[in-house]
Amino acid sequence: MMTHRLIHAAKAALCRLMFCLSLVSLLSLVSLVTHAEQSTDYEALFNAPADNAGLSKLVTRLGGGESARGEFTQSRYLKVLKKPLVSRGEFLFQDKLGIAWLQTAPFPSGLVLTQNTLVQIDADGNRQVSHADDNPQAGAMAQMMPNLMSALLSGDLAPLQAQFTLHLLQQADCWQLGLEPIDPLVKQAMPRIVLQGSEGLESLSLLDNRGDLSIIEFNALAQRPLTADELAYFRLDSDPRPATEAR
Amino acid sequence: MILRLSDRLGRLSANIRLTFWLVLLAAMALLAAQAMSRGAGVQSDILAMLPKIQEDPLTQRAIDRVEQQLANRIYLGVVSPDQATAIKGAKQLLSALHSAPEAFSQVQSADMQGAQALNRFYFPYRFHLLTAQQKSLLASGQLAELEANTLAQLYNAFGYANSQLLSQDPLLLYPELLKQLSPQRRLKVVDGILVGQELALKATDRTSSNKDTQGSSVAIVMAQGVGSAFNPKAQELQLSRLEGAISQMQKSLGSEQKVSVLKGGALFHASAATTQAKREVSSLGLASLIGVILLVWLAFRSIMPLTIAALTIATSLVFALSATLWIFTQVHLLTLVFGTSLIGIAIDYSFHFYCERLQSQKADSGATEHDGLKETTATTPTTGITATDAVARVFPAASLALLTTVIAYLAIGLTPFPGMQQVAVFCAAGLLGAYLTLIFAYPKLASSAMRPGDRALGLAARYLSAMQAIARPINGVKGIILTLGLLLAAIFGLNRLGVNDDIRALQQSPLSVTQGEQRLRQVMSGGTDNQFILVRAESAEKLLTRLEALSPTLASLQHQDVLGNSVNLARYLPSQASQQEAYRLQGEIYHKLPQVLARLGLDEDLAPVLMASFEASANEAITPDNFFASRAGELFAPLWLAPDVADTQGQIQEKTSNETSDSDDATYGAIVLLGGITDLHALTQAVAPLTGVTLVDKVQDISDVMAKYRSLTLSLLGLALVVAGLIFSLRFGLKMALWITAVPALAALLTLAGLGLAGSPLTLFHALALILVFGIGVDYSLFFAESHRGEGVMMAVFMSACSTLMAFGLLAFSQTPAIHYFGLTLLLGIGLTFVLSPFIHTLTRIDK
Repeated sequence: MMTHRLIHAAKAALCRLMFCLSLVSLLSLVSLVTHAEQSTDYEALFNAPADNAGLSKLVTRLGGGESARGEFTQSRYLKVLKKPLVSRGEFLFQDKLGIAWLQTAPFPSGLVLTQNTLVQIDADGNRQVSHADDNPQAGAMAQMMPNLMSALLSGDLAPLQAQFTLHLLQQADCWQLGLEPIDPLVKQAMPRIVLQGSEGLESLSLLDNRGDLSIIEFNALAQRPLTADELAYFRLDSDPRPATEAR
Repeated sequence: MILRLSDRLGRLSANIRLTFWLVLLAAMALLAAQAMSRGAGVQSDILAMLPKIQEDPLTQRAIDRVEQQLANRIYLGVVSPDQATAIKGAKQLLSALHSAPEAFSQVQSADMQGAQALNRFYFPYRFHLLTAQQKSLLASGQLAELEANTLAQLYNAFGYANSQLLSQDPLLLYPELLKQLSPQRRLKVVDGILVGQELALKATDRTSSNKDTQGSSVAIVMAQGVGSAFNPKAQELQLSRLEGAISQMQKSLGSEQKVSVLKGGALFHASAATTQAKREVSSLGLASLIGVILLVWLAFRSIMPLTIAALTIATSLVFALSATLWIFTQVHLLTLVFGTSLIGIAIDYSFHFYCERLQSQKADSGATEHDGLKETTATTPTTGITATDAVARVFPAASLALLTTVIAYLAIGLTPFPGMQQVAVFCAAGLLGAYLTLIFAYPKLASSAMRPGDRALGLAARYLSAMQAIARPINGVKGIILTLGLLLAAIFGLNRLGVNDDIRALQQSPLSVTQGEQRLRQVMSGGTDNQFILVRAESAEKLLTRLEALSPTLASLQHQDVLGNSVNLARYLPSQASQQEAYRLQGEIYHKLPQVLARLGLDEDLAPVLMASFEASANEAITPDNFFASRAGELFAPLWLAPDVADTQGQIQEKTSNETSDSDDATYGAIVLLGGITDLHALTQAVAPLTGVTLVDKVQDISDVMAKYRSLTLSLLGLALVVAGLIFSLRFGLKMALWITAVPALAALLTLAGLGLAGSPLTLFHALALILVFGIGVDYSLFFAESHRGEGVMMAVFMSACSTLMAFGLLAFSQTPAIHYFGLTLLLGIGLTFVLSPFIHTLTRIDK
């Protein structure tokens, strides 16, 4: 049974957001070309360690709530791409249930993460359920983005400190939170993550050492209870439901 | 002949005899000292006791490799409800074990360097590698499907698609392959440490006191022990370093952290076995010694017999040890455990000697009081019997007894178990020592006057006549009923007697060891079993093809839960044919590269470089040579058995002459490690039809040998009975000889029936014990047959049976199954022989 599920889980790895950080970092070793280029925009931020006072100030700024809903636009600037890849969708958050990340364009796909279950929805609306116990490696890494979002949306930054070195710049009208993974393997794959906003969370940027950049912008962020329709995404036993229905 | 020997002995004076004995003893002691100085010692390697099995050279090499790899490995799991604490603990253990290179090597958790090496090695060969799924998609022309998968990755900001990789592998085929190569485990890597989860379900274990084991994290540390886990010195060193590291870790983490450590590996089983055997040697040996001393004191009420008995035992131990050390250079710990029983037998001679003196003394005093009521036997001297006379009197019986017992031990020595051979030599030499002491030392040393022992003799006489009273009416109807009853019980018991030759039944580690290991196995999902698959072929390429052919079978077995996991080289080292196919299939992509890049939105400038590297790598394939030479392949090298350099010459000739043969000249071999086998039979069945594939199961092979020697030992017992009967018939005549052998034969039969009734399945160790029952049983009946008045022998036999039961009977309480079986059989057998042997006396009386 276990092995069966393991094989299953391994096959499922193609789906969106089911990534394997160790692989990413391993692949980075293959580097034959070294990109000296490095985004210097955030040098100031990563030179500013976060202190507790600053962080608690940020927490009050973020507010935080039990549930939230928002839309996202993701742009990936990879050097080998002729033009950036842009995708759009919505996300749902409920602190007791988890998070649902639902891409609607250019093709539908989705990811629902509850306590230790990962549900992947592919372009055809097929659901694939895997348990964190089956493949904790993939599970743990798939949880990084939802963990980040949970921390910021609920306003509880403490869990982040276990995984990241935090850097913080705060001004009256905006803030920047820089994250550097503590685990060397994760750091190799994702050296720097920057979250910023004026009041609430506005964007999340992933920077790598070779000049690739991904930016996820959030809009229409609303801290409000989820509707019954939205809550249905978190139900494991719910009927297969194409992600296209999301909006 | 015996009488002549006895005569000749009688002519030697007591002093000359003693001198001779002292010289012998000194010689033996010297021999032992010499062996000790050569570095002889006590060995506790359980494996050393097991028989050597003849395997073909390749299989033997494979077995050696696997044992080398697995036997000395240890696994530790630091358990804590808090993951960070578990990781911290594991890191401390890692550094502590790292700083003990004399005890442990290859200390590691997650093998990060290994994983990186894997990646570095395979990447240049990526054009020759594909996963099964990729192969089938490309073969069926479903390029679009692959492209869709790539696109999904491209849109994943947290995924592995980055510019650098895309410029070298535009369809992102390689990460999938790498994922397939990395072991599928239920473990994650956090901060360089392997971490597993123990589920809340485990709360059912009542033994664990802390209820919050639910959802604990288990951080794994692995190490290779330096030196065999079964070697007592290496074992002690490893354990002490390990205990030190663990207590240091627990101290530094603080007592408020509930950190426990799960342990797995042969080391812990071996150490449990060693401690147990050591404990039993001291506790059972001591109990037996105290029992014997008490017995002697109660019977003779004198210090002298006790001293003489102690001397006999000491001499017998010196002989036993020096002979064993001289022949085997080492004494096995199990030999010593079995050897404790030697005390029980060696002392028999002094019992017979003293009882003889006691009896003569009594007869003597009786003769002076009531003149004319002397015993009819003419040989009895009228004046007080000397020690020399007593020795002369027990000489025939003792000599015959020694002869038969040594025959019995030699039969044990014929088994291929080195441990049992040692037991045989140890006991035979020990008995010889006791016998020589009786003949040469007793006349001088044990000649002091004895206190009359009328009470003990009286008791013995009363018991004997009671037995005779029982024996007499046995001829009637009662006798028939009794015989029928016994026969029925015997048939019923024998009918229920099962057989169990499984060696695993003999190796039972305490629950404290197996429980922790079981939990660790659960967390690590599997582990490796003792059984493995050996695939052989006459060339490397053919071997790899066969390994690939084995993969689907293994996969389906894993699917059916017959098997938990397997390590097949085919996954890491594809055959040339398979690599060529992968290259050809990737051609489907690279021939349409511009279109593919366009559909993915990738820069068309990538095409020329990509195309060039694809074409340049046409002849670059992974071969066994470059694979095993790499850091990645190093890990797998133990699984590959290339022909010896010396054989290679012949191999090449063979290959040209007969390419397709599948005979013994197949010298390339590969080991496929298996774990979590749930149904060995189904596994054997599934693997059997594949060419060049065999399941190597040393455990089963040893069990088969055990079965073979169990039946051999039982037939030897039959043979020994016949031989003993023939020897006896020379002295006693055929009819009496039959009766004398009937006692041990009947005792053996009833013992088997008793074992059947007790539900103890027959093993080799039961059979070996039966041989001893025979040896001792023959002793008893011989002494009864030789004696004319029974009470002296009755007393000696009673004391002997008591001491033997104390020694062997105690073995029945051993926790080590083999020793327990041995003891139980002797308990039954000696008990029965004791009850049966007095009837011999009745018969001699009737006959004479």
